[in-house]
Amino acid sequence: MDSMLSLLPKIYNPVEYDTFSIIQTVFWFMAAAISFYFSFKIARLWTSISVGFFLIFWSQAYMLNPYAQSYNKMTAIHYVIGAVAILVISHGFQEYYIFTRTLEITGGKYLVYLTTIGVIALSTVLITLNPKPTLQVLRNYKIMENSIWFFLAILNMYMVWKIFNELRDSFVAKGILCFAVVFFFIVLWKGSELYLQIYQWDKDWMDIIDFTGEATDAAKYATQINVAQFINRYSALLSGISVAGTFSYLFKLLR
Amino acid sequence: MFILPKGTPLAENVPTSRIDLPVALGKLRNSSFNGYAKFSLTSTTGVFLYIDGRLISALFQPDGTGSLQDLDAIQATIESLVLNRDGAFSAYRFSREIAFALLALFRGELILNAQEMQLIDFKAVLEKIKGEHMNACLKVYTENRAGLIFYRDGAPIGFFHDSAQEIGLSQTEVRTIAGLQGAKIDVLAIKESEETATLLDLHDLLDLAKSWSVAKENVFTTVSGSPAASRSLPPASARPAEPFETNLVALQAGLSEIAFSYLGKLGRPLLEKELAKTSGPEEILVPEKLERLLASLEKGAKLLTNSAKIKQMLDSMRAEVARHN
Repeated sequence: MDSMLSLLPKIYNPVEYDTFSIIQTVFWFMAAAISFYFSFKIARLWTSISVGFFLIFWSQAYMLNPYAQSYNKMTAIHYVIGAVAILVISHGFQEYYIFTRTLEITGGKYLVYLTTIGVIALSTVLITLNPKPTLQVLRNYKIMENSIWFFLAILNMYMVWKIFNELRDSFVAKGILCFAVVFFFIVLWKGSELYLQIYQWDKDWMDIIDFTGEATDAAKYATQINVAQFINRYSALLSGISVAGTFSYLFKLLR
Repeated sequence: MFILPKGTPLAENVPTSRIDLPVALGKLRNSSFNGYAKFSLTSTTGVFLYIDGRLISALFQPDGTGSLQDLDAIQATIESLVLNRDGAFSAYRFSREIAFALLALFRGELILNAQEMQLIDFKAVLEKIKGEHMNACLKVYTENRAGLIFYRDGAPIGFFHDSAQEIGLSQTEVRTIAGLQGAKIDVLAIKESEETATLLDLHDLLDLAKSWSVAKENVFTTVSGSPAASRSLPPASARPAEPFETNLVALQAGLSEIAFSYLGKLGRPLLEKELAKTSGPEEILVPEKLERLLASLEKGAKLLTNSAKIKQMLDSMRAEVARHN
């Protein structure tokens, strides 16, 4: 076993399996599975939404991997996948809104799959060609991902509201409105993490300055940090629960 | 004598008690209709002229008294429809050229008004129309006969008379009417050309749906296709003999209601969009074309409701088409 262990990369940070993270991953898996079912049966815009939620599940599940933090380039790729996920989901909701206004459904499902794979492949190539990301660089990737998530989640709440207004008296309207709740929790989840990152109070920064010996003012702002961490933890869980609940409800409506 | 030509019938003598006016006119609007819709009521007639789906002009002709035009005509027609259950609705489609020439009949400038044929130089009148490239409608009539000649840019594009079934290219009968004792002539012309004319849509000036619902609330309690309405239709011998009559407007209204009840607010425009892709509303009656239409409708419906309700909706639509077929 020791001879095998020497072949494996070193684990720099202790692996902590948070119960919340595991529960979240299960819920995101439910959402991904149901949205995949929709994408086969219904129109192309559900393909965009389902691919997006599948990518979220994938990036969430990857972070449970004990070696997640050891393969820096893979970690960077998964932050990019997380960003692509919310972009694809947003694209799906925007197409849904366009449908409610024009009643036109155009384009093929395979285009969504191929474009997503293409974007991820291109990102992978770019990250692979560049130097191995340091912890600071990985943190930058994470800030980028959180920023994209935060602003697109706000936009998607607005989109969902507009779609609901157009579909108000249709059978599926309430199911669509539930996505507004999902995105609300996502705004809190990613927003709280982004807040900590911007003020350099996040765990990644604390780990970095452990090595560099840099000082931090975290002790002075313990209240804000604790509140943000509390919001981050519970809104992450609630976003997972709400997305699984929303898809279950939609599955019941559209079956 | 008030005369209107007949074109391709979309609906003929449909009892007005079965017509939902905003829905029926909405169909004409959405299908880029060129032609007119006529409401023949007990002592009045309302005619709505459409060009490219826009309600360009309306005429309300009470028997024996002066006529009303445009918004007044629409309002008067709505009130008469609500008061009068025994009317008949017809809609006839024409080419755009004829529809534009018909506009002259509705609100053209009166070049000649009730001039006796014996007192004028008819050839000179025709030369004037030709020379000035008029878009005009020439009406020749006696107490019992009437005929129309339609002009586009001074050239005749169609001839119609009271015993014709459609606009034709032969001027013989119209000339005969013009030669009858006591025949009179009206010439009405539109100054603008077909390409440059400002065709204001009266739908934009009047909230038809609201006017209709207000009129109904104030006068009617409920209106439905009752047997009494059908008994009051003109007897079959007086109706033009047609081998096949299709209540297309009522069918489309029925399908629209079904789409609305299963899909909500977006059901109607979704159905109208699919219907607009067909080459004519009569295509719904062809089984293969109907199935194609329903398949397209199903694609959009999947985003609005579940598969069980979609199946029920499609079955209801098939039954509705079969009922009208």
